[in-house]
Amino acid sequence: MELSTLIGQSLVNGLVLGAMYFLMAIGFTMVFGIMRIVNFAHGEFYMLGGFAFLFFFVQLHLPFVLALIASALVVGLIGMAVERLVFRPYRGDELSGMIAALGLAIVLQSSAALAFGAMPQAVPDVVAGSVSFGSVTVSAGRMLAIGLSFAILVLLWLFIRFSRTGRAMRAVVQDREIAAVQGMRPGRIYPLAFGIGVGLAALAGAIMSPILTVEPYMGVTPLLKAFVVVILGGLGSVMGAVIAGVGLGVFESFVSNFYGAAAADLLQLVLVIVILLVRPQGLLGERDA
Amino acid sequence: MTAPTLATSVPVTSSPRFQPRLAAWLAALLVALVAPLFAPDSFYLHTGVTVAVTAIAVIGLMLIYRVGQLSMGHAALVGVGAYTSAILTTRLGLPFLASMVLSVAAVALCAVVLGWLILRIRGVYFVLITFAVGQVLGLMFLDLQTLTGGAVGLSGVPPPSFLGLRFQTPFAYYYLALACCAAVVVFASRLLASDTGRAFDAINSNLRLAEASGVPTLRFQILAFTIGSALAALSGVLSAHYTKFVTPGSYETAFMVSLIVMVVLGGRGSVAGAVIGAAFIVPLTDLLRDTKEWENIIYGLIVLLTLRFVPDGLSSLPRRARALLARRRGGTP
Repeated sequence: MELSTLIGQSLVNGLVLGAMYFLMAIGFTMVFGIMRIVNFAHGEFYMLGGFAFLFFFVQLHLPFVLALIASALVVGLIGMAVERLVFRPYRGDELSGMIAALGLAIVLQSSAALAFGAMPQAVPDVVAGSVSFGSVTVSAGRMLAIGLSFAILVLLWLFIRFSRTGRAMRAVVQDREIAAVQGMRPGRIYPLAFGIGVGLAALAGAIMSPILTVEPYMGVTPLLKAFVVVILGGLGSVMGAVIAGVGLGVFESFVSNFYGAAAADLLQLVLVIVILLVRPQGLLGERDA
Repeated sequence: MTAPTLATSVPVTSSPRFQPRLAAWLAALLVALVAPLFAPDSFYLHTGVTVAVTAIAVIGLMLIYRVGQLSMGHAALVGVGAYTSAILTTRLGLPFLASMVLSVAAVALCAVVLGWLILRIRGVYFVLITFAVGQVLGLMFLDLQTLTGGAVGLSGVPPPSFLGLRFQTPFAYYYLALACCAAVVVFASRLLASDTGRAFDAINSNLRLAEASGVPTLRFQILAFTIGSALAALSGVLSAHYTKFVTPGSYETAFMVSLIVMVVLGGRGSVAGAVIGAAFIVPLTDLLRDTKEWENIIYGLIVLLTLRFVPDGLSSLPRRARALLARRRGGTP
């Protein structure tokens, strides 16, 4: 294979990974920024998204876009219930919230394994065929995944930037007390933020399910990646998550093509440790009070 | 964060002569000593060894929690202790005692340096950085194949033998593990009751205030982290020479989660809690070994329910009961 082809393939594969990473990381970072919860169960909502999509798309034969929306809604609603039942008592207690998230993660994961079985299940391609750019050939499914992820990003950005609720969320990230004084109600914003955050994870799971497969433990790696991305981009920063997500995806794709996957995994973790030590607010994040 | 309360260290309703905590400890020790004589069943002995060995690691994790930090690299440090001793005894042929001391010392030394680097970071960021360190160590167990045996691990770790004693059978090993665990319990209790322990508590309840009051907070945090990590290594050494093999899978995320489950269930911040946590969870693991999923679901539910309804863990129940009784009688709790 020619070098230019190899580079092109690596780039596209990196973008697919990057798209999945930033969708995961945005939800993770939003939940942290707004609720101060490090959601160790975030990968499990990605997994639930995959199974929801499998149900709506493969079993109910819903149209693709409808199946995506339904998956995100269902998982988002589960998320809102979980926020109420599991996380609400630990507002202002980060360590307890984190441990609770860890407990939630293993409950969700093992329940899924009992309910759906541990066997990986394939989801058929949404679009067939491939797209060629010069010597680089990419499956249409991968291009769709990249396109969709960026479309979701734009929608989310519009929501956060212009809607009343979006503005309230940004206000909480900046200063929760002032936001509360100005009439922001945590009882409304928190469940919504958590629902949207895990809904994004579900979308990532659904979008990736035709490319990978659906199984109960599929959320473990994306969680780890979300965590890496969020540290690189700055905990709580959405823009940082996007840039770091794409960056990590492309970096990982190149390093594993040229040096092997083990090197890619080790390098990014070491990078995370160094960044936490030297610049805990992340490469792009703002100073954490 | 739950600040350890004064009530744990000051007996409330007892005369100065009778110490209910000490009595409870001695009773537990007595039961642990004589139980195998009546039921020398290898299954129970195995569980007993695992409880004692695991409790040492949990006490270590609890000591680090006691300065307000949750370490997610703890399980991996147990692994480092296990691997180091396995390598020293199988490759270099060192005797058990020397290998144990060297392994624990090596991990403690690393912990001093690591702690000095990372303990300036607090809360969420500390959890995340220790999580990353744990992941890196896990990858190293797998990737440094010439040293660690890769995914297969190391086998043929010799059973401990010193002073003419050989701890080959589960029965003998049980008493070795119990002795080590008891020594660690005594050490940790004395440590927490000393001025050092009070400095830990000051740091836990208010770092800035402690710093302003002249407590060298970083130094005490490094001390807690070093002792905690050394105990992790000790636990690893004891488990490696018991099972006689070391595999990377034993020190993964699942083990880390179970250690945290034990700390939370027993009571974050108390020695008794750490032992109670291990004594509850380890047998559960052995019972549910064939159904991994149910084991995890039960773990998760235990964590969620304990955090919600008994945030200070099982070890706080006697104190809670006493407070309740005192209130009933109309006295001040």
